[in-house]
Amino acid sequence: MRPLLVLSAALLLAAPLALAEDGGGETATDFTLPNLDGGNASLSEHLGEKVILVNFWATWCDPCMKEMPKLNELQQELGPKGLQVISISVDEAKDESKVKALVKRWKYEPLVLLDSETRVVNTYNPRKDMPWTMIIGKDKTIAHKKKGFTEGDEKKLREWVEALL
Amino acid sequence: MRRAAVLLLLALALPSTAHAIKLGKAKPGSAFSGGELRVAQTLYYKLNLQLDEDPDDDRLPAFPLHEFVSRTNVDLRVKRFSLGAQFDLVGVTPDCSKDSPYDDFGSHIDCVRGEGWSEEAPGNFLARLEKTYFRYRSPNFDLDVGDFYAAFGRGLVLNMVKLPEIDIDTSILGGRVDIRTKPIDVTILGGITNPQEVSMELRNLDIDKVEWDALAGAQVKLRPHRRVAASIHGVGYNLQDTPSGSVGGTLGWNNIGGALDLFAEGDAFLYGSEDEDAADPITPGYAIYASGTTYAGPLTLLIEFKRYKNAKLEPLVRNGPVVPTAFTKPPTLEYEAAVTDDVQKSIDSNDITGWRAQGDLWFLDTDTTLSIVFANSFDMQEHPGYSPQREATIHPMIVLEQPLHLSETVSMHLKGDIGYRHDFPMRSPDGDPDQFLPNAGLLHYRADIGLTAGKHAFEIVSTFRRHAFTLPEEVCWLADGETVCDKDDGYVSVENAVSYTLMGKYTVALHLDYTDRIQDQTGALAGIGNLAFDHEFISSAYIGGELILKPVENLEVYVFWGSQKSGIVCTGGACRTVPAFTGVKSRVSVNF
Repeated sequence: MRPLLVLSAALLLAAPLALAEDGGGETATDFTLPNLDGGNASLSEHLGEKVILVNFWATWCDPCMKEMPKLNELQQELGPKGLQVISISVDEAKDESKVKALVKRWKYEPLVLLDSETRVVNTYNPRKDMPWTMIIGKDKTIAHKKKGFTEGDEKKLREWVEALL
Repeated sequence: MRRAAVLLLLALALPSTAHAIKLGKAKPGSAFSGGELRVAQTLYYKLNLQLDEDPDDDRLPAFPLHEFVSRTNVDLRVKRFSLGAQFDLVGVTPDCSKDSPYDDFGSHIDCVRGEGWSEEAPGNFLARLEKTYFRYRSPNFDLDVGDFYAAFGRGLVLNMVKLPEIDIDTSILGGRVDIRTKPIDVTILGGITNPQEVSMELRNLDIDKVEWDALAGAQVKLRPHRRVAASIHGVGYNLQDTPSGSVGGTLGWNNIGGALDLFAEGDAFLYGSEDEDAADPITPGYAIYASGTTYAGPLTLLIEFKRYKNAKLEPLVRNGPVVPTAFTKPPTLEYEAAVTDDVQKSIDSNDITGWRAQGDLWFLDTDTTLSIVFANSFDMQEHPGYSPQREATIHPMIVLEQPLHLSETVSMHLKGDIGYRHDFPMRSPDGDPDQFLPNAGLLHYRADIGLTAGKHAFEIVSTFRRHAFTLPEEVCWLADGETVCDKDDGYVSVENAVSYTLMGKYTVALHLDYTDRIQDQTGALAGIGNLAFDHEFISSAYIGGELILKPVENLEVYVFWGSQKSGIVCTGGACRTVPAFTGVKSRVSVNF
């Protein structure tokens, strides 16, 4: 048993040291989801034309509630310069009525889509960490991925977006 | 076998990559150029070390349980196509398929399996090909072959989605087609249930391959007007050879007068039986759910209504805690933070009528949000062990949220709620009078205080629940030599957590919990807990500490030391059922 533990520990500690908070050079895959009015919207409607900030959130997620007003500000300020924020709610189907109430309360301007079937979050964020953000450049590659939100993180998000605009 | 496990784990880990591998640049006319191969590797090591709570007795603690889990996700994407799989390996020590090392009292409980297991204990090594898929994605057409997820309407007839926060990942293994046109969307699907068996959280000693259920369904969505959306849907199930089906529809009307949204869903449920001559077939059922949301300036008002009668396909939890399968998940109309195991039965009732109103008032100048919630339901189903009679319930709550920006780098976030749920009994005509509880109440509050100063974050979360009920007759017991009688009973459950986080690096948390509820103390929920011990040796107070280290983005080391009571624990907005535990738990998780 001891060799197993020693080998495992060495492997675990050594392997990931060079990893960073970048997007891994991954190309964004298209998806289509319902919007709040019963229609559909696709990532490809903006892909390649705008810098896209995709944010996964849920009404039960307290850090998400802190982050979303910041994303609203980003959309208002940088939207005219070519940013599109897409907020994807992963609330379950039973809670969909709560989503729009929250969005309306905040006068939230980003595009809000519903992923109650967990089809898109399973592709990009399979552990369903909340909130979870990725920024896609105009070259369609994912430039940054970020888990969680604490006060001050909005500055980092702004820096990343402005560098890609 | 153990050596083979080590070699396999290393072989999988070493060639892993943190980046997608580009398969050449895209060239017009070339089918495979421009593709990407992604390999995501997660390694998990868990140690569960049980402490001896009463060294004076003859009973030994459970032996240390080691688990090494390797999860490999491979995904090949070429243009709009994806082909992928998830492969899990588990190494478990000691080998529980052999005799228990502690068998003075018979086989140790950790090595005992109850009746109904379809396989022998897994030994010390297992491999599972959990998920496989082929996907095509475009704005107007999606195709899924293999594992996929699905939900129709508000989840009343179908809600098989990934819920990793409570360790449910049951997909449908089969096929799904989505066709989207401007006025009409069509979804057709069919397959068998495929629960993910290897768990990152629970012990894999209990792993068992379950029998599968079959289902097929279709949904058609219509948009006759840009503000009106309607759908019809139907799902047929074959649950352990018992057929059942549901059909229904939804209607949504948005932005009425620029300030009102309306939604309604109605479904009918039919149940068959394997035995055509069954004396007591399940009565057909129905479900109605409706909601209205109005948003006028700073006020948002949400009103929901439900009526469920024999409308629930029972979630199946078979042969152990690892592989729960929930087919549907209807709206509960309860404020989630206040839902506990004793109220779960009534909100999941198969004969219930209820409504809920929630008003949110947002003060823009101060960024204050005040929410007032009122829920009312009539539960006509009896739930032995929890609420053994019909009951009417009221549940008012107040929630206050206040962010404070104290300076450029210092901010606070305050959130608190307080509520009281009261169950008024309604005696069943044919109910057992001995089981009648006159009244039951639940007083609860939760306070969440967060302080962020630069890279330092502090948080205090305090939850209190006081359950009280009156017994049908006085219960007497001896206290200090005198007989004491009382009709009032109940229990207290308290959870407190103080945590400090240095941004992105590490988190230290201290938990101070308490309960005088016997079920929480003895770990009735099963799992890693002290199931072998007499509850009289277990204290009511629980003190535990957590350390989470995250030296780099994709490596996380977690250590828990102390005591933990069983029950539903809510942290960070997600709730999970945890087993009673005393000792040390650790896990190391690496994502490549």
